[in-house]
This record gives sequence, structure tokens and C-alpha cells, in this order.
Amino acid sequence: MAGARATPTRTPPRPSSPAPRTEAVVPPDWASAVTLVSSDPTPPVVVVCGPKNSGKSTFSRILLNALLPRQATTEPNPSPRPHESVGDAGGSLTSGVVVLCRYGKVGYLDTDVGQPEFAPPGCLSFHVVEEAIADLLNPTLREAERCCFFGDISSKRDPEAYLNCLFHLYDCFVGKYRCNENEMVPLIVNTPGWVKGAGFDMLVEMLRYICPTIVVQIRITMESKNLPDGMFWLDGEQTGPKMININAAFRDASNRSLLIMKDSCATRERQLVEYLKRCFPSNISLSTNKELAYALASLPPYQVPFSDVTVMHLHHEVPAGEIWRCLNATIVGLAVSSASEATRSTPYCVGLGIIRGVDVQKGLLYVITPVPLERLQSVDLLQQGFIEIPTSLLQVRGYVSPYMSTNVLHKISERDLYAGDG
Amino acid sequence: MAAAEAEAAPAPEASGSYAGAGGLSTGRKLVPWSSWEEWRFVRDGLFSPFPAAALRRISAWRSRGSLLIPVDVTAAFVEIRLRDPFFRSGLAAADAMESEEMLAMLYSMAIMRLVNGFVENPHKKTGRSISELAEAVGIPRVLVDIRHESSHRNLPSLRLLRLASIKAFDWLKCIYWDRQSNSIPDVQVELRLRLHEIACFLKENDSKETKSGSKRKRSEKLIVKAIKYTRRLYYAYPFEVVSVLLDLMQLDAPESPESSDMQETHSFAVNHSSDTQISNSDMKTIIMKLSEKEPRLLLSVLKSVIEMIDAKEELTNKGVSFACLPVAPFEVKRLYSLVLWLITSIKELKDSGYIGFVHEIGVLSSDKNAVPRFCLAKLLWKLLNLSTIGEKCIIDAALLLIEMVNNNNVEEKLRKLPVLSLPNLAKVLRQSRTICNELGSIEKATETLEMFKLQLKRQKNGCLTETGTTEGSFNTSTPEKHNRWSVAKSWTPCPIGTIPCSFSSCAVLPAFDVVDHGPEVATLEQHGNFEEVDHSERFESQSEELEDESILNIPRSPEYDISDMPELTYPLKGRLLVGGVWKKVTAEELLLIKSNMKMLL
Repeated sequence: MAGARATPTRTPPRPSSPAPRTEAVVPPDWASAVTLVSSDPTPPVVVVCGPKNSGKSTFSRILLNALLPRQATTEPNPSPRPHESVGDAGGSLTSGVVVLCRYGKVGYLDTDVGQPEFAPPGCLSFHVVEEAIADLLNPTLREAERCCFFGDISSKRDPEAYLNCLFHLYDCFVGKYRCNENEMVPLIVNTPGWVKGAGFDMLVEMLRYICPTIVVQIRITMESKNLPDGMFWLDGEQTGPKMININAAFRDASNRSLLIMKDSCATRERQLVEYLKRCFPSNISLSTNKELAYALASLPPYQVPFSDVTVMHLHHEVPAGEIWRCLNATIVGLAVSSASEATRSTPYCVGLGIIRGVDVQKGLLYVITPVPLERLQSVDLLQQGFIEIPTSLLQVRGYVSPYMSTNVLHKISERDLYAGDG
Repeated sequence: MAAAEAEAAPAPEASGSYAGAGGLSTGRKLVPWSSWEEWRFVRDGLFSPFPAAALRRISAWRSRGSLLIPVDVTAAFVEIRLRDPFFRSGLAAADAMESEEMLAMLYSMAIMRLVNGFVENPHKKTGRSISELAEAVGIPRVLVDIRHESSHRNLPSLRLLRLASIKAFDWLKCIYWDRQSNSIPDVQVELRLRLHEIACFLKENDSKETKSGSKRKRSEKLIVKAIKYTRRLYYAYPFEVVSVLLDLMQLDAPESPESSDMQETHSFAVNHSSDTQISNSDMKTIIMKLSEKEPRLLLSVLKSVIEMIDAKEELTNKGVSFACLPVAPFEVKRLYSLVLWLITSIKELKDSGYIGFVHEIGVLSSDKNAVPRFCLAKLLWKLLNLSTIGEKCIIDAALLLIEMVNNNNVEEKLRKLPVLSLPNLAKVLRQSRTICNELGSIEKATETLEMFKLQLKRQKNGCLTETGTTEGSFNTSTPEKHNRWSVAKSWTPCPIGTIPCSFSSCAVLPAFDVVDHGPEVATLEQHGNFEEVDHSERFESQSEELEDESILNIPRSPEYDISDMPELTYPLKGRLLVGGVWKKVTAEELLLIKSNMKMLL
């Protein structure tokens, strides 16, 4: 079971029944790529790109762990200066003996709004990670250093806003962690898997802005789905970064690397559920969605007067009189309109919340969020996007949301039609 | 129904098919509307000559996501027509689109989206051709052709597109709007049907006391099933269910409970139709059965009954001077006894462990039988605020309630009142009001202050305008640094998208419209006026009721009438908790308080 990910002889799991992925087994070319990156003398800025489901996130996790101090060792003073250690980069890496750099902190810029690594869906974020990741196969939530709420699961709805968020976050990182030459922090940039059409254009802009020192491209055997080989984002003679090409880890019977199909919708839902569980103390057992739904229905929410927050609709203008109606029972980004910030006026997001109720008479919004009250006090902007609440949280017995309706006619099947005639 | 009656035992069979027409379906789907009322509002707007409000609503729906294709496309057609001079003959519209090319493009796009929206998914799944699938679904052929023409060949002529848009519109109306209208569950009808069924089974059980056990068991099973279904209805439509339950209690029937019981039993046996009444005792049995699993139903019913009494009193008091309150008519008497019965039942449930009172609902209370005490306290407060507090039933009920609230202090004071035997109304009234005042805890006081603050803010902003318009003037009056966010107090569990009703721990769907938009924008102002009139009336009756020598009656200035805050205005309007007593305050006093608050902040 353990080797489901990379056992060469196994056929790819069908989307309906994803094979259990319990442990990441790192193929040799991945291991040498990791070694190559970590043996870079200066703290690198690594962009990982490739078609969707090719394993960018998994590779980024492995790389992140490789750049961080080994878990077992107790570093007396984890400074951002590179530590030199000799040996393999991870339990399963079996490359030769190279001098590898390890850092006390590693920056992680997450640009995949559909399946973010450390943040809830719809967010772009950058994190400074000091602790290795235990689960190499699934995303885990972590506190972001800076986060922007884009409000959709794909950048296609507003490429400009998407890139602005991204550049803003990158600037934040550079300003804080790349200015002092002695204390530079390496950065890993995980990119979305949209590599064709407008997605490709965005990736090009992203690469041009970031100017990485290393680009890791994951390729699959079906060439038409891959990014162009080489430094596709540069026009001419400029000196490019180090390019590393690796193959997707999953292979079929004839040893072709393939995409692993996964249910991104379910992943997103799981991540939102995990996020919302943080509203509750960890000693409360919330193993099922049903339990969580009950808990969410009964949790005394935060309240905020209408007059103290501005509502911003990220992707769809809403008529003035309809604002509260369209906010009720939706997910919003809780943001701080950074007027005080000297940088570009991109609002930053402290977390997501559910508008669990609106009281127009009292002029109050009721919000459920894991963000602690002290941090909420600075929130003055609610950003509404298109991130939907998992429906399983809206329809637990006795607490069925009014937006979960019965008797909805939503499919017109042939059978329906003829039954109607007959 | 009568026809069905002819058969031997049709009713039990009918009860099996709950998902049939009119019933609740088992599947649920996320929709952007919060109620079928809202959906109907949009439907009626779209098919009226003034679709602006409906289009605005659909725009709001779009931002919520989960908008259905037929709704989306219908809105598109309506919006395009608004811009097409052809459909707006005589109306000189500023936003009419003159360019035929543009109009043709808009129509083509809408038609393309319609066809694709309906057949794209099956096309991908089955691989059958678009036109084949469209035919199966019943999309008019011309729409399919236009889709093909406009995406691959020349843009079709505007004349053809207009014609096609009419066809498409009609098709959408028939295939979606009409059919959906027909499958909306009618809670009232459904519930009445179910309740009569239960009553019928109960009757059967009574008569079959001596008969074989198997048949009895069967009808018991059916009762359980029907009760379960009724409970589902209650979860989905709590207010409708409570009002139907109370309606069926025949509270305004002139008979005394006993005689009506007999008469109903009789009539039931005779024609057995769904129009007949259910006896009160049966209704009580049903309510008890329902509340075994959902004890908070009793609280909701109690709240409604108290409100009914209050409304009746208001009616009685109108025009009649306060001192000589007429003898309560029979219906009010029955309401009183119902209050007592409800509270006794709550107590019974509590004693038998079906219901538990807690101070605050815990974070993870999947225990739905827990009822926070403050709900009872609020109900008690409401009860004691009734002007006919001297009534024996009500006093007994209040004492029971107090016992459950476990507020010894208040109980002592109430017991000391001499009024328990002799209803000296004026005195009782005043004393009971003092008790109310004491019940108003500090929490309530802060709440009130909060409300007043809000009221003041709103007045500053110009109370009818939406928030945010006069932000500037507001900012100068309040300090910038204050705690925007706080944890909501006295929260009771309720579904996401609703807010708790402060009295019965049952959920309320928030009213979003400060002023309800009619189908026409033009009526907006009229509506506003209606609202205002409505509230001033309400307030007047309230102040009459409160005319008491200890409370000053202040002439009310119109600008203090907050038309969009009926709940707030109702019990606390113009009053402030000062030193434990609800006092009326003048506008000047309010301003003073406000400036003091500013200093505190």
C-alpha cells in the first residue's frame, strides 16, 4: 500500500476510487533535484511549475523539508544562516554525499488559489516555515505571514487582481527576508497547474517578476500537456536561472509518468472543514462533518456593526440594497484595508469567516471565524468571493440552513419531461 | 379527499408517499434564495412589466454562487429586452441600445448559453449530438440552430433573434418557472393533512383499545412516521408549523374545550374529511408527541400564545380606559389556560428529563434538548409584561416558569404579593413591572445602551438612508479606536443563515429589507410611508398601555420613530434602565447620555 504513489507497475487510480496514498516515495530524479537545490551556495528562490496534478505540491513539500533542519536534530540556535550538513536530504533520499545547505527558516509563497498548501482555499499567502512538514501528501494549515484573499478557486476570473496579490506578497517577502545579504531566507514558490492559454501568460508574468534563481519544471510523458522546455519566460539573451527538469512521480505500466487524478473539490472541502475546526478548542471532538455542523450552529459568533466594516465584492458587483442578503450564509475574507501601510494598498487578509447571520434591525453581522478576537479588531473589510461553504455543514438535522432547499427543480431530464406530458 | 374516503383504508397508504406532489423532497440543494417567498418575488418580478427589482435580486444571487442556469438565462433575456427598443415601444429609455449588431450579439449569446447550459453536460457524458439532446429536452429547434449559426457562421438577423428570444423565454417559463412553482411544497396544506392523519390514527387507537394488537401496532407505527415527518416540517418552517398548530387548536371557537371536544369527535366520525377539526385534547397529544424529540417547540408555541394574548389585550385596550378593563372574553381565557398548559408541559418534560436547562449553551451542544435559561427568563419577562397579570392561570404559569428559571429572588417577591388572590389590577401591574425591571439584568441594560447607541448613530446618519452614506459626520462623533468586534451574547443554536429568536431559541430568517421593495421601484417611497404609519400606531397603543402614574408621558417627536427597527422599538423604545427601573427618557436626556458615553469611550 505504501508505495502507491511511485510503484512503477501500478496502474493509475481512477478518479472515483483514489488509491490510498499513505507515504511519499521519492523517485531518484526528484531526490537529485532536491539535492541540487539544497547544494546551491546562496539561499535560492525556487519556482516549481508544471501541469496540474503532476506533483508540484508534493515536490515543494519535500524540498521544504530538505531545506529545513532535520527534524530529529535539536539546533541550538536556528539562525537564517545556512547550516552545512553532510548526508541525505530526507529519509528516502539516497543520493550521494553532497554538501547540503539547511536554513532555520524557509519562505513559502503559495500561489495556487484552488489548492493552497497552508491557507484555506481562495487565498494567496506567503509563509515562513521553521518546522518540517510531517504529512508529505496532504496540505496542512499554517499561520501565514501575509495573506491575500483572492476569492475564487481559479485565477481565471481576474488575472490582474491575481497577479497584483502575488506581486504584493512577493514584495513583502523580499522587503523582509531578502534585503540583508547575510540573512537571506530561501524561498519556494509553488505555482498553479494552469499552464496553457491565459494560465501560461500568467505564469510567464509571475516568473518575470520573481526572477527565480532555480526553476524546477515537472514534466509528464504526454508532451502536449507540458510547459515548453527551457526558459520559456525569457525573450532573448538574458542570463536565466538554473533549470531543473524532473518527471512526474507517477508512472503507468510502461513507465510513462502520468498525472494523478485527484478530487480537487473534495480536497478544498476538506481544507475548509479543517480550517473551520479551528474555531473550537482542540479538546472538542469534531471527527465528523456532522459534529462540526452542530458545533458551528451553536457556537456564539462574533458580532460587528454594519457601520464598522466595508463590504467588498471581489468578482461581482452587487446592487446597494442587496448587500446583506447576498452576504448571509456565505464565506468572506476578513481583511484589513491597509491604509496605514506604506506599500501598495492591497488589503491583507487575516482569515476567512462565515457570515452566519445578519440582523438588519440591529445592524449587526454575525461571523464565525477561527481568527482570535484581538486580531479581528483590526478587520474593517469583508471581501466576498465565490468560495462556497461545504454543503455538508449546512444541512445537519435540526439545523438545516434555509439556503439548503428541498423540492428544487434543477435538472430537466428526459424522464421528467415525458412524465410531465403523460 | 371524499373520493379517497370511499375506499377501506386509504389514509394510511397516502401517508407513505410523503415525497409526492406538495410534500418535502428528501434531497436538498444549495440555492441562492433563502425562502420560496423570495423565489416567487423574483418570478413575479421577471414576468411583470417592472422587472428591475427582480433583476437586482438575481444579481445578488449571482454573487452567492449556485445560481441555476434557467434563472440566469431568464434574467439575461429580461435584461436584454429592457435594452431593446422593439420591446419597449413608447418607453423612451435612456439605456436603450440602438445598435442592432450589439443587440443581435446579446441575444445570440443568451441563446447560446441557454442551449449549452441545458445540454452541455449530457453531451459530454453521452456523446450524443447537441441537437439530438436538445430535442430530447424539448428546446425549440430554432434555438439550437441559432446557437450553431452564431458560433460558427454569420450572426442571425435581429428579427429572427427577437422571435427566438420570445420562444426561449416562453420555453423557460414553462420548463422551469411554472414547473418549479408547482413543486414548491405547501407547508400549510401538507401539515394540516399530516396532523389530521395523526388525529385519525389516534382516534382509531382509542376505539381499537380492545381489538387485536397487530392493527394497533401498525397505526402506532404510522403515527410515529407522521410525527417524524411533521418534525421535519418544523425544522424547515418553524413559524408556519407553530401558527398552523395554534390555528388547529381552535382558539377562537366559541365552545368551551369540553363541549367542542365532543362535537368535534362527533363530526369527525361522520364525514372524516380533512376540513374537520381536531379535538383539542388530540392537538395537545400531538404537540406533546412532537415536543418529545423537539422540546423547544413548546417554547415557540408559548411565545406565540403570549404574543396572541398581547395582541388581543392591545385590541381590547384600544379606546377603553385602562382602569376598567373588560372581562376577558372566552378566547383570551382559553389562551390563558393554554399558557398554563404549555408551561406545565415544559415542566413535565423537564422533570422527565426530556428537556434540560442550562446557563449557556455549550459550544458543542449536539444535545438539542438543552434550553438556555435566559430563554425562559425572556419568556417570563414577556409573560409578566401582559397587562392581565392578575389572571389566576397566568400567575400560576408565571410561578411555574419562575421556578424553572430558578430565580428564587423573584419568586419570593411574587409570593409576597397579595394579588395572588385578589386581582387589583393597577397595583399588580405596577408591582409586576417592578419585577420585570429586576429581571432585566445588567446584560439587558448594556444591550439597551447598545441599542440606543445604534439608534443615535442611525439618527445621525439619517435614519432611512443605508449605512455608509454619511460616514464623515459619523466619524467625528465617535472615537476611531473602539472595539468593532465582540462575541455575541445570549446566543442560541440556530442554522447558518438564520439568527436566533431571543425568546424561543428557534431560528429566524433575517428580514433583509429595511423597506420592502415592491415590484415597482416607484412604490418605494409609498412603502416607506406605510411602514412609518404602522409603527406610530403600534407605539401609541403601547404607550397607552403603559400609562401609569410613575411613568412620564412624553410627546413623541417624529424623528425618533425608527421605522426600520420594529423589534427594538417595541418594548424598550423611549425607555432606559436607570437604577434598575425602566424609565422613559426624553430626547434631551438621550443626548446627554450620548455625550457621557462618548466621554467613557
